Amino acid sequence: MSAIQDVIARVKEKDSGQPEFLQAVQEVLTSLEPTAQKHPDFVRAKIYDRIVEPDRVIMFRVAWVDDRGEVQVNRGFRVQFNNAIGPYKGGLRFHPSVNLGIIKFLGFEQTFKNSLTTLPMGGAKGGSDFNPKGKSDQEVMRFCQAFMRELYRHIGPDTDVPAGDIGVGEREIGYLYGYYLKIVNANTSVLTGKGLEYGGSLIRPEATGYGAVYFAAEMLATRNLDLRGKTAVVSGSGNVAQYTVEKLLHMGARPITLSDSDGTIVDEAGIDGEKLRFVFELKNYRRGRIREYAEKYNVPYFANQSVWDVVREQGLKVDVAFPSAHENEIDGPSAEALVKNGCYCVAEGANMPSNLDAVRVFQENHVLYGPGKAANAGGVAVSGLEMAQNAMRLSWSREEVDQKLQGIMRNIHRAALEASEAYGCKGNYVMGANIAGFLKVAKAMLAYGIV
Amino acid sequence: MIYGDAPFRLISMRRGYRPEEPLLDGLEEMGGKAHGLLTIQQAIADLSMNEIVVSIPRMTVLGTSVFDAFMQRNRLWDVALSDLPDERIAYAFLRGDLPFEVLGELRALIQEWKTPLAIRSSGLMEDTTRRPFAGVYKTKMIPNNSHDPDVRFQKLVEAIKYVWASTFFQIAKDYCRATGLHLGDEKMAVIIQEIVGKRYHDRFYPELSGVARSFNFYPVSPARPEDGVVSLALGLGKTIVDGGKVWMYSPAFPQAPPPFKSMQDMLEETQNEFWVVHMGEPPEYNPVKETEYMRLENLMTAERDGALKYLVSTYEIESGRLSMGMGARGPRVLTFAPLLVLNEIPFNAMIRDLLARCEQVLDGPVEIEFAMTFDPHRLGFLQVRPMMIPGGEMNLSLEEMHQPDVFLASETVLGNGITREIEDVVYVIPERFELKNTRQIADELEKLNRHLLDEKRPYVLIVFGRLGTLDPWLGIPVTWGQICGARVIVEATLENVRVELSQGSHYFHNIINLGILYFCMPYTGAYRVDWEWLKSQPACYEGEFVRHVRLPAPLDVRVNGRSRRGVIFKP
Repeated sequence: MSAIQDVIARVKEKDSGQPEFLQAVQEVLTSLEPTAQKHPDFVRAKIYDRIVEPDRVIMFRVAWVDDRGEVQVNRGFRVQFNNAIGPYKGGLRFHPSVNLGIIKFLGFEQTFKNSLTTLPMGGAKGGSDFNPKGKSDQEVMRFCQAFMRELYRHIGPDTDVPAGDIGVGEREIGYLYGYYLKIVNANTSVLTGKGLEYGGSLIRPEATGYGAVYFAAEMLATRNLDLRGKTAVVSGSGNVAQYTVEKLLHMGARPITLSDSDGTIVDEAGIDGEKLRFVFELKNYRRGRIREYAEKYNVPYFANQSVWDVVREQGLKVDVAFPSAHENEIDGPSAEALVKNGCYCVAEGANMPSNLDAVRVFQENHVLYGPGKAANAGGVAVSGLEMAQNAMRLSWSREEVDQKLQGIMRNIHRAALEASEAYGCKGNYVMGANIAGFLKVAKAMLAYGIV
Repeated sequence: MIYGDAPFRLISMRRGYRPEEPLLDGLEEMGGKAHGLLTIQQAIADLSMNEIVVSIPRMTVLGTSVFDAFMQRNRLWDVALSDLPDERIAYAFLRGDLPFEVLGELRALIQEWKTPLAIRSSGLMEDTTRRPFAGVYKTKMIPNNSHDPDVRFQKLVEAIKYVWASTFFQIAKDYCRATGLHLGDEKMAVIIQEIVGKRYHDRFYPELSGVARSFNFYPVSPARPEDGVVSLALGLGKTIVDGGKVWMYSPAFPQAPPPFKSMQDMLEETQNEFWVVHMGEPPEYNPVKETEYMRLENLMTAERDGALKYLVSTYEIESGRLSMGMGARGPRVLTFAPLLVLNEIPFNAMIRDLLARCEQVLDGPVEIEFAMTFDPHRLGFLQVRPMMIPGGEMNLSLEEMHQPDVFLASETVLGNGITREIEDVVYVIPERFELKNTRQIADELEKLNRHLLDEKRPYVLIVFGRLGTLDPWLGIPVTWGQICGARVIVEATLENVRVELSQGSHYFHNIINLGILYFCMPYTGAYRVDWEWLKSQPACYEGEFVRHVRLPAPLDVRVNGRSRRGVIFKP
C-alpha cells in the first residue's frame, strides 16, 4: 500500500465518526498520489500524516439569552488547521448541521483553497450549531457576542482571521467584530467580510464573476487566444453571472445567454452594456424573471430549459462557457453538446457545476477546463486583499482591487498550470490546482522541520 | 335603509324583514361575512388607539333574498348546477336581469359612492358549516370612477352578477364535493364595500393588507399554535388570498423573521409584486374576469408612489447588509420592519388587540382580514370569521396512536385536517439509505414526482434526515419542485441518520400555502414507521434507493393541529 493509502486508512480508523472529513481526506490525498512519488522527503517527514491532523481544535460552550428570557446553549468550534503559509483563515458557519466532523472537513479543504490563491493565508474553519433562521436581530446579536466572548482569545490579525460562511453574513460579522473591539480595546482587523465603513474591501460582490473571466483569459492565452470577439454562454443571472457578463464586455467578448430557474434567454446580438444595466435592475431591484429580458429586447426565450439544454437542442455555437448557476448543472451529454458546438474553454463561476462525466468529456476533448476551486477563487482572493488593506491601513480604489484580483487569478492559473506540467498532465487544471495548493503548504512544513 | 348608526345598508327583498332587529335571522339574509362584520362592529368600536383609526369601511349588503329572486326569475338554477365551463355560467348570469325592486336603491348608492368598490361574496354556508371558503368564491374590484353614473351603475351590476355566478364555478363545485356540501343549499349575499386605499395616478391600493389568525397550524419555534400568525402584503389582499409571497410572523414574536435560509433567499422569497385597482381604461372589456380592473405592479412602482415608508428594509448590495427603513440606497425588501421591529406605530399591539376582541365575541379562534393606509394611519377591518379547530374525531388519543393498524404516528406534526384520498406512498428504502447517496436519491424522487404529477395522484413521501438541506450529508437536498406532488411528508430517522429534522422550514412557504401535513419523527421520538407492512405491499416502481407503492385503498391520514398529534392508519 502506498504511503498515502496508509494515511487514509489511519484516518478512517481514528475519525470513523466523521464521514464528511473522511471523504475529503480520501479525495484530496488520492489526487496527491503523484506528489508522494516525486517527493520521498514528504513521505519521510510524514507530511501527509501531519497535514490531515489539525494544528488545534477549539470547542466551547456558547450560552446566551433569547427574546423570551430563556437561556440557550450552543456549541462553538474553531478548527485551526494549518498556518504554515500564513495566519489561519477561513469562514465561520452558523447552521444546525455544524459539528466537529463538518468543521474539520471544511478547514482541511480551506487550507488548500487558500494556498492556491498564492496569498499568505493558512487554513481554518469554525462556527456553531446555532440556527440563525427565524431569529430576531437582537437574538442574533446576543449570540454573536456570546460566541466572540470565547473566540476572541484564539484569534488575531497575525494568528487567525475568520470570515463569513453559511449563516454568517455582513450583519453577523458586524456584531462579532464590534464585540471583539469592545473586549480587546484595539481596532485590529481580525475578521474579513466587513462593511465598507469599517475596513471592508471594494469589489467583493464582483470578485467571483470577474475572477472566472480573468481565469478564462489566462487559459486562452496559453493557446495564444483572447476573449475579444468570442461568443460566451453564461448560465444563471445572479451576482456571479451578472459580473461575469460585465467583465466579458470589458474584455471584448460577446455574452449571449442568461438564465434563471424558469428558463433561458438567447441574445445572439450580444448582451451589451445597456442590456446588462437592465438585467441589474431586473434581478437586483425588481427581482423579476429573466423572461422579461426576452420580452423587452424581443429575443428568444426557452421556458423550463437550462442554458445547456438550449445549447444542445438549438445547436448554439459557443466559444467559451461560464457555468455560474448551481451545482451539477452540466452533465455528460450537455458537455458533449458544448464540445460539438465548438466550445473550447469552460471556466466555472459556480461551485462544482460540472458533474464527473462532464469533466471527463472536457478533458478528453482538450477543452480548457478551469474547475471551480481555481476559477472561482476570486471571492477568497478578495478576503486576502481585505487583510492586506487592513494591515496597511489603506483602502484601495475599485481599480486597484480589481487590478490585484486580476494579478491573483493570473498567479493561480500559473501555479495550477505549472503543477500540472511538472506532474506530467499539462493543461489538467483539476490536478494542477490540487497539487499546487498542496505543494506550497507541504514545502513550508518541510522547511520548518518537525514542529 | 340605514342600519343603526353604522355606515351600513341592507338591500333586502324580504317582506316585513326588519334588519334593525337583533340579528337572529340576519345571518340568513346577509350571509356569513356581512353578519360577522356586524357582530364585531360594537366590539371594535372603541379600539382606535394611538393615532391608528380602526373602522369597518362603508358597505352595503345585497341580501340573499335578492339572490333567490334573481335565480328564480331568470331560471338560472339549471345552468348554475350544470357542468358548463365557468365562463358560460358567468355569461348566463350576466344576461339575467337584476330584480327591479332593488334597482332604485343600487342606483342611489352609485350616485353617492364614487370611489373604488370591492364586490365580495357573503355566502351562508361559510358560517353554517364552519368551513373556510376563502378563495373559493370570487371578489371583483371595480374602479367606480367614471363621471357617468350610468357607466358606474352598469359596472356594479356586472360585478354583482359575476360574484353570484362564481358560486357555481368549478372550484366551488369541487370544494363542495370534497367537503360533502350541497351547492344547491347555498344562499349568496353580496357585500359592496369601499376599498381601503389611496390613489396614485392610475393606481389605487392600500399600503398594507393583512390576514391574521389567532391559531397557527404551522408554528415556527419558539412560537406556539395559540400564538397565532399574521400574513402581511403590500397592495390589495389578493396576494395573500392567492398564496403569493407574503411576510408571515407570529404576533407573539413580531421581530422574528420567517425562517429564510440566507439573505439571497429573503430577497427572492419576499413580495416584489403587488396588486392594484386599475383606475384607467382597462386593457379589454371582460366582465367575466375577476381581475378585469386589477393589475400587478412591481415594488419599484410603490417606491415611486411613496408607499413604502413603513414597510421596507433596504439591502445594501456593496456590503450585503439589510438596514431597516429607506435610509440606505439599494433594493427595497418588504420586511415590514418599521412596523414590527422599530415599532414606529403600535401596529402589532393593535393586531393582537383586534384578535383578542374578535376571539372573545366569536368565542373561539378567528381569522381576520384588514387593510391599512398610513399618514394618517387608518386600519379598515374587512372580514372576520371563526376558524375551524379540530375536535370530535380529531382527538387522537395515545392509545389510538399505538394501535396495530397504525402505519405511522408522531406528536410533532405540522398542519391540520383529515385526508382520505391518498393511495400512493413514495419512500426511501431504509436498508439502502446512506447519507453519501442523497444526491442520487434526490434525482430518483424528482422522476417519481413528475410521474405522479402527470397522473394527478397525490402521495405520501417518506424520507430520512433533513429534507431540503443544502448539505447532502444531513439529508436529501431536494428543491420543492422535485417533491411538489407530495401532500403528506414524513421526515424520519434511522440508526445511521440521527440529525435534527428540518420540520418543514426549508419549504415553509409552500407547505403552509398548500396545507401539507408534515410529520417529523425524530430518533428520540416514541414512534416508528411500520416498515414491514410497507415492504409487504407490491411495488409499482423500485429503483436503486426509492420505492413506490400503490395501495388498494386510501390511507387514513389525521392530524390534529391543536395537539400537533398525527397518525396515518393503514387502509
